[in-house]
Amino acid sequence: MKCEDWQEVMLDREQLDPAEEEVLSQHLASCAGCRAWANALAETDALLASQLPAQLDSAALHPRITRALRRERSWMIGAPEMLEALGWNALAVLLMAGLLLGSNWEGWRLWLAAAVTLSGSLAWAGRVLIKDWIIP
Amino acid sequence: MSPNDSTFEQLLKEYEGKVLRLCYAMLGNRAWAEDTAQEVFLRIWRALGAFRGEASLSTWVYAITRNACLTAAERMKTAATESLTDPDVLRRVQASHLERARREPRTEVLAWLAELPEAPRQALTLFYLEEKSYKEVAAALGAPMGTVKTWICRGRRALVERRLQAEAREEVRSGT
Repeated sequence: MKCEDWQEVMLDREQLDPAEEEVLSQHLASCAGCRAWANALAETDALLASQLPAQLDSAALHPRITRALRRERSWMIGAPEMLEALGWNALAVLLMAGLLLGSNWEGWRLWLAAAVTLSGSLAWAGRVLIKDWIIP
Repeated sequence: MSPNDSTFEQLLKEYEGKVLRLCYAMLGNRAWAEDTAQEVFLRIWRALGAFRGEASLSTWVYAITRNACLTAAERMKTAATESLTDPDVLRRVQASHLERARREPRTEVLAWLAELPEAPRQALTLFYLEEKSYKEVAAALGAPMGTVKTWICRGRRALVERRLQAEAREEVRSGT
């Protein structure tokens, strides 16, 4: 086996059985290049295993997520009610406008119909969201 | 508290560390990883009601995490391009890198890790963060175990070679 093959074996050293480990140890005892390689691998492993986790603090994440969730929930809980109120109010205003315009509303008919449909839909969507929203 | 809340709370406890580690492995930046992990849990919370258990919970959580990371990586790229056009920002970044290198000389191994190609870098970062579990790395990255092993071996070999080269340079420098 060439040194490169031994290095490949060292990359998966945990998987070796005792007999294979013994053969590898014998090679390491006789080859300075592979010994240096094994030391460099062990040191790199140790450095990364100690330095990488130190980069992260998952304990700080929990309260942060809880806060973000609370903000999201308050917005989501308020939104359907706001939508419903907006829809009903718009509908009332539009109906009043229709009544006030009386017989002179020929040109406005289409616009009013569209606006009434839209505000009615808003109110309906708000109601549905309040009833069926995943947040009780 | 509704059943949804208690399920989410349980899920948060179980996965917050794993999600943060996957985000860090994919993005290579702590601040972005934390922001993205937060975004992942908001997405999970919004979609939890629709989870039907067709895939395992971990597969679902990791898929959401990977998608959020891909979006974040795009935003990171845009933000970096915009920042680098500003000479003040560029000067500040260079100064902070110099300062950090002066204070923490042992972080060179992290710098070498950051220079690896994307797949070996992500796999190797997770490998060390997940206590050298190939299975966990493969599940988080959604890649076959054999592929993950190849990435990790390639990454470790590259880092060892970088280290040996650095040692050789150091010996030459101290010898002259």
